[in-house]
Amino acid sequence: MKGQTFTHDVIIRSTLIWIACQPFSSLQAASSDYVSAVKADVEEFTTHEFKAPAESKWIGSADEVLSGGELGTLEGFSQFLLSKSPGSHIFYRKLPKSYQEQLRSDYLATGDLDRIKDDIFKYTREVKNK
Amino acid sequence: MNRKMIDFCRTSENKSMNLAHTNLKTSKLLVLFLLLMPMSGQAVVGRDLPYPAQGADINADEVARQVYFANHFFAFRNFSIKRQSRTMSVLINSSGGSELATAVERHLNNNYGADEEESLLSRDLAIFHSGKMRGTGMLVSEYKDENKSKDYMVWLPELRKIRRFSQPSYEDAWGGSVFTFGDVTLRKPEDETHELIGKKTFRTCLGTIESLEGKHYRYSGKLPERSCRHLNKEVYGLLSTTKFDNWWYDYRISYVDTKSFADYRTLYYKDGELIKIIDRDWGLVNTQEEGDPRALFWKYWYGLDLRNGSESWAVIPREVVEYNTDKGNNFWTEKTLRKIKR
Repeated sequence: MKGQTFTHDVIIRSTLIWIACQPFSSLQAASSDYVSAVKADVEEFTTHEFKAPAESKWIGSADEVLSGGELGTLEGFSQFLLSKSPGSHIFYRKLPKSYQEQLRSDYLATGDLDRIKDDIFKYTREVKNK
Repeated sequence: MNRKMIDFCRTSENKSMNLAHTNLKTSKLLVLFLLLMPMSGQAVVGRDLPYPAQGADINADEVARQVYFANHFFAFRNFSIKRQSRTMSVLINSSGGSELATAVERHLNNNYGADEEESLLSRDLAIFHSGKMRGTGMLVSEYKDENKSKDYMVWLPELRKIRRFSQPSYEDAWGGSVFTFGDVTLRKPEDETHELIGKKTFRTCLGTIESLEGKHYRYSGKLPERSCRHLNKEVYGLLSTTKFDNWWYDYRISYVDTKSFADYRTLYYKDGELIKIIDRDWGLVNTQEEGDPRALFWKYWYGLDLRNGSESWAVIPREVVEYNTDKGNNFWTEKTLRKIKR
């Protein structure tokens, strides 16, 4: 009887400790991947070599994961736009390369996708009127 | 030569010697003045800080001053993070699984002349629209005289009165967040010694509160996803060591864009351990005109305190950003504070 009470007590205590630690440990788990990536990045200042942590979601583009492309290239930007705004992408792909390049560099500078969408329509009208 | 002539010559010689001595004294003073001038100019970073000449060698102190310039929006006459109907900037603090959100409106004015209003450098007006601080307004005045501390006037809605406060401490939490007053506004380039530790490409995406990424949120609409736009941009590593004794950090390393001087990331160290990370996503306000590359705005700030796991995320939607408006300087006065509705 005494042994049973003791076992119950231990289980209850362990459960309470687990519940108390849960939010903090989940937060730690979520951010540890990010912290490892940050630490690897800063080490490059001293080692002059970048050792990317394996399977990190913070190295390279998250958009890359989404779209299979890379924002650094025109093809990658096209993939990114297709995933974010398929409607605008229909007009974007018909634009001359110079306009597409302009839109890509504008996005990299401002990060403002709404403005990029407006500009796609503005450039489409410009091209039509030429 | 007669006596008179000799006396005349002696007097003239003495006079010219006196004159030479006076000239020497004046020159010395002038040299001293010229030597001191750039130093006093360096102390206060204001709107007149020029963008470094192309190809010029840049040192760590200059990088620190340029970062201060960008972070205080000196490229603009005025800069507002306003309220656009129901959309506002939001500060989310997450700790131990619970979240607290505060909606804020902020207006900064850098448009003060040389002899204007007690030599004001800038005025910053913040209005809180949610939480316990709802209806509270804060007007912060910064002066050109570096020895003069900032003035804090706070509108307390429950009392319907303005109270003056002394400048908060650098290490005080800003809005209960991971960010301190020093991080957001108070820390000046001369509070630290600076050293450039190299140049490299930026390798990682900027942080976010992962569980909220891309989700709809009150006040700000859809929250952004992590920013990876700055990958592969060239950055300086700026190591800044605090001059304060027994400080909460020993040194910090900032990643500073070599062209725009946007500081994308700052890492804080104490006793050799990384203790805090602050990431800032920056955007250029206008790509249509050829302007100052430092004319940037914050898209979001993310902070992670590794000592306790707390996170903060301040998100500023593009539609609430406004700059170089025709608002007169009288907007940044007590009158506006008194008009705040709870």
